[in-house]
Amino acid sequence: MFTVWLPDWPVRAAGFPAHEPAAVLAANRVIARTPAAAAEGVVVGQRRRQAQARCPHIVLVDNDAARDAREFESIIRTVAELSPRLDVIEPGWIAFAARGPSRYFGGDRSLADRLAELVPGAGVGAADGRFASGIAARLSIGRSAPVLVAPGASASFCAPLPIGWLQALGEAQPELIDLFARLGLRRLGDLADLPVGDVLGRFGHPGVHAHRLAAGVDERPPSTTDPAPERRLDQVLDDPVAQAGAVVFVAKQLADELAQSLAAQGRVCTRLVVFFEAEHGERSERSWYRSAGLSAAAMVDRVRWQLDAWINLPRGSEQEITSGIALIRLTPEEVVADVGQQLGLWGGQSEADRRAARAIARLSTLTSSEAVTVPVWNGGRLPSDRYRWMPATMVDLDQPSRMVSHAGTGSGPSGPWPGSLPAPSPATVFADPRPAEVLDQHGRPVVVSGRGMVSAPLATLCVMSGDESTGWRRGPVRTVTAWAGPWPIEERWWEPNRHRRLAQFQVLAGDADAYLVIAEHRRWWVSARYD
Amino acid sequence: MNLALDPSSHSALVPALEPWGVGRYDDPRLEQIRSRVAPVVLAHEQTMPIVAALDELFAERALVRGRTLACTGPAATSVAMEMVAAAVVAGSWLAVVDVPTFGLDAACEAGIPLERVVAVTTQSDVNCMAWVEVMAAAVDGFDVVVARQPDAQTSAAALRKLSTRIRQRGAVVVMLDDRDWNIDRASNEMSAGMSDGMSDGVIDSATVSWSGLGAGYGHLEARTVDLSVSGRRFPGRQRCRVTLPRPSHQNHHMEHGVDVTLTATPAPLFGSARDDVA
Repeated sequence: MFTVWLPDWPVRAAGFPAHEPAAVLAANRVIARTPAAAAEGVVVGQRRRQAQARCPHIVLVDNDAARDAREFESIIRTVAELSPRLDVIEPGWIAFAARGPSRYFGGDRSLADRLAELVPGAGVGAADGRFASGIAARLSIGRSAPVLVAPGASASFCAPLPIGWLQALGEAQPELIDLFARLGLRRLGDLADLPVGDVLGRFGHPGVHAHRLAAGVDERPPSTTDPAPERRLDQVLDDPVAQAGAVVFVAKQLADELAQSLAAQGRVCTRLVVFFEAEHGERSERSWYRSAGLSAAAMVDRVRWQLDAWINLPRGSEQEITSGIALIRLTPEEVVADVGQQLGLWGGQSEADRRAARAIARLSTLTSSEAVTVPVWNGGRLPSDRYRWMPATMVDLDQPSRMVSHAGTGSGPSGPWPGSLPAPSPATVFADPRPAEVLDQHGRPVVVSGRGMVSAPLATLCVMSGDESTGWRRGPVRTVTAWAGPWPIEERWWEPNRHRRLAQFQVLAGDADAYLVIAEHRRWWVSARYD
Repeated sequence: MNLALDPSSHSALVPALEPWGVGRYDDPRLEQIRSRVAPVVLAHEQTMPIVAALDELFAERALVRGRTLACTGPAATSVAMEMVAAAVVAGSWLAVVDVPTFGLDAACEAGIPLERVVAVTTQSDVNCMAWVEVMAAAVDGFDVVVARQPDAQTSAAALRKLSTRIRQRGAVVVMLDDRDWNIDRASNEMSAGMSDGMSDGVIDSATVSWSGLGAGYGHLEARTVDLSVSGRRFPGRQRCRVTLPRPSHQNHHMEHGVDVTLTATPAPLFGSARDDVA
């Protein structure tokens, strides 16, 4: 099994040369960067701001899966010269069975050298299984020579490697790897030494899968024979279709049907062959592999990538498309029993989450991206400071830790914020406090001294309405039946511009209306209402 | 369950084959089977959960999908938060349309997981159709929507279309109708009829009393609120009296190892909350 892997493919697909600092971002985090950016300290997983702080002149572009797939087509074609039957796992990552090609080219070593020559900058690895050869290809980047694992030596090759490789190659969930590490299984060999029955009992199917890979045993060898024809689905288009959107639409129906019929048998497709034929007889065929199984949506993605790459081929290349598409065929080449993916009780994406993500995108186009916001914990003593509304498009919604919703009043992630008021919190918080007038029983304004003493008990409250531009109007004068305070707050005394010194009061006006009132610079404001 | 081999159940099955025999037998197992194979899910059976304190208000003891409810009175916002909390906990997303004053701390204390809250502001004062469009998109994507209607006049036809959409999509919309109580909006009476026409039920709140606050001492602790629901889907006024914040949800917060009344309570509780985390 050979693997060809191109490090940081998205940034290469975006067309940045290696000496220019650049990075590709998805959901505001770096997913790929050029060697020049890496030298400046930009690492995968960083936020946009952190990357800019490390390297101020960095060029940042957004992730575009279609672009990655389109640019990858030339690499696929190059590798396909050596081995026609190859699996594309994702843009930047190809695997193919080694036996035939390496016999033809005179051994693994000469095939690997030839590959490294044809695809500059790629890591080339060979091993018995897909997993081990994937690791070998990644290691070969650092060693700048192909890494070849001898037949039967995959287990001893994997044993000293850290367990995190399972996560790096997308074979196990981060939670499982974290659990392994906490249990002391820090190397792949540690996991492989455990009896498989115990692994099944403790970790279930994902654990067994990880165990097999760590032991150098792949789920199954890649098949080189043609699959049985009964499962494949095809659609002949009587009127050849020239629009990519319409082809994808037809493919979506096929993919839904395929995924449904497989699911009815409790199976899932791990390797899918997508085949197009145009009216003039040109063909495009690719095999797509995903170890976790391809859902209907994932199949449609692959169809779209392949079609996009085919349409955007340079002029004059082999099998260039010149007419509308007349035949679409989806063939599930490898089908495995669907042991199911146990979504975590906490987290994981539900249907409602996906629907909400789509609705957020739609609302952002309807209004503006600044008008659709999600709360982010900010911390502070005043109710209006504690959370900040951030544009939803700038926040990674899958990350619940942005929100310490269970932190409750007065105990944020960074300190208990002394001076904030205990629960219950006001349900209506004014972004801009409204001016108010607070008088004592003789009709004199109440003042708070520098030592936090009130001049007289509060007797009446009058809240202004209107706004700054049209002028404030006095509202009705209400009797204060109960009040408490002052709770003094002095914030940011070290910053002259943002220094605030104020006192908070809770005021019950009439019998039932409770307000949060603040006194600042001898003026009174209503900052929130307990409604 | 092997019905055919059990003689008693076999005899009970016989009358079921005769058309006039319906209702003559009283075997509970048959009742169970009948309820299990009943083909139709009625509209009022498609529901979302609601907290136990408020379920007396609704005959279904849940939030019925596709309904529009209005909250009025001096505790409108708090009641709206309490009503939607259980549904959001169960995994639905909450959209907050045109409520810039939505107090997130209070929402958090009501038990709403804030990671599933999205706020939208519309330019409804410029273009009143924007509000209807945004609402239509919001009910498509979110199961629960809390909204405040714009001051500007919205056409009745657009509102009718919106209600149809809400019913089709099975969302629950809670309108905050705090005109009389909000300081800003005291003057506007124009849209009153509109939101009444759109909503299936109006939940009116009246604060009876606050506790915890004295003349210069203490702090607001809890209040008693009388709720009554009326409207075309709610024959007979259902009433109930609740205490806000709900006494139970402090336990809920304690389960997560964080104490909501941290600043109000002396140090030992702080220590115990930390132990919970560990």
